[in-house]
Amino acid sequence: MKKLFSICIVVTLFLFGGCQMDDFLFNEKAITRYELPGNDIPDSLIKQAIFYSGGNKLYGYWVASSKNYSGKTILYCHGNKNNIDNYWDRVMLLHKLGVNVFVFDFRGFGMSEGQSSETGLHEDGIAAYNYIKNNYSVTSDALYLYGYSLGNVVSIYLAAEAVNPAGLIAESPFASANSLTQGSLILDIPSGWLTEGKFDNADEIKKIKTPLLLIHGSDDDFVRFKDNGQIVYNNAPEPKQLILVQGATHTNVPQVMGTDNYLSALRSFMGIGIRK
Amino acid sequence: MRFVKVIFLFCVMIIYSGCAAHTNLEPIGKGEVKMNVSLGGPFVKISGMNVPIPYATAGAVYGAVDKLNVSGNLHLTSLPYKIFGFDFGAAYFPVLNDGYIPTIGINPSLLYLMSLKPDVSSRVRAYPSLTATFAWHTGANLVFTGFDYTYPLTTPDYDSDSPKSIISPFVGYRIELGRKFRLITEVKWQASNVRTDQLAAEYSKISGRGAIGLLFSLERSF
Repeated sequence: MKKLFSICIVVTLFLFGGCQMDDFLFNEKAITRYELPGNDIPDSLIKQAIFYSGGNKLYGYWVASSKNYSGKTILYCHGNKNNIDNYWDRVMLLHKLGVNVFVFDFRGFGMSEGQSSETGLHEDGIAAYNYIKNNYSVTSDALYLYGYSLGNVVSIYLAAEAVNPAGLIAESPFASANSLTQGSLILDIPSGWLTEGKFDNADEIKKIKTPLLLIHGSDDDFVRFKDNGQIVYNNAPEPKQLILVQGATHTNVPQVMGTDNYLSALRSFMGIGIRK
Repeated sequence: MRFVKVIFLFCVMIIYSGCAAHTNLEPIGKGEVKMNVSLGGPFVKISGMNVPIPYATAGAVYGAVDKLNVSGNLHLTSLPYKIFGFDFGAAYFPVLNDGYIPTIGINPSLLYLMSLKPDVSSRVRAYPSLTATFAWHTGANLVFTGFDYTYPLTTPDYDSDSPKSIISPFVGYRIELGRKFRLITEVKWQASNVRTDQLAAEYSKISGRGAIGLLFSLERSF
């Protein structure tokens, strides 16, 4: 019995090293070069961007419009999976709107240096905005912030704290890190028990002063609408618009919606026409 | 986007009542003590494979009187997250196994969780449960079934219509391993009444509900 107790104590002390669950929000993949898979945008319109955030070299792509609508630009903040390559199909889709698109990898993703964190996401978002403002003269009144999944942590923070854009597009946002963990745990583990960062889109969205378009799949199998997208939408001030895409999951909103309908919704929100 | 990482998996079992295989299945006799370690949890799909989550507890059962055991379990897997988890309860056995009539156990318990981190919005959570067990001897071994009923006292931040009760049926088999040791294996449908088809963790579920779990306990008599 004494031996068993000793083993238990040793195991307990060993386990007390400390863990956090913030990592589960990041699924970054480091690479040495971007492939931009399936790219159908003319190379002449694509320019790789290198800028710095928190001492880390970050990489992105500026995709210029060939039919620029009043200099409108989408700053696309991608989800948590891998890197820009994984979202290049979306960049190509957004390019069809006829606006400029800027996409970048947060620190720790793709070729970008550093370690992912909530603070890092915020800093990287600001650095990305400053980059396109300084290098491409993007003004806030022609800027649309687009966040997808984890990217909403960046875009909503930017809209709430750093810049007042012409519009904010939130696709499949989670309410907070806690909403994800509580959903998975079924019960109400309090905020801060399992994560260091709050990733609190539901709170940040209250501070925006720009029109919001929120798009979410009704069958989202990762970020459940009712305790995530719905909460973010409810907390957002007017004007706001919700598109709940019936049958769509976390990863196929444009496909289920139909790309024409998807682009049409964005065009309507941004007040532009679709480039043919 | 099924990217649930291993580090995440280690803690998803915290909430379910009875994270260990049931060991409080029959009266052990006044003054008797049995200790156990348990490992197991729900299956989660990782890269297409169903992988059981290892959730560990260590506990003891004490025979308070002839038909009443008291028990407690320390939750080991929650400790690296700086969460102290402990469940304790008492099992009363009004009916003893006689032929087809099972030993019936009624076991109220409380799962107590306390965060050891300095900056949390709330420090303590407690989840009361009631477990009913039905056990039959098959020679020296024991087959059992039953269910856990957990009643959350509070609701998640953003899900006001979350389940007000959580029901987890189980079935298991206890094997005698010599004079002092026993191995308990148990299959449990955790949170069988709760929809789990739209969560960050992808459980092995039935009809979009709950999570199928496999639990093992090794018990030693003293």
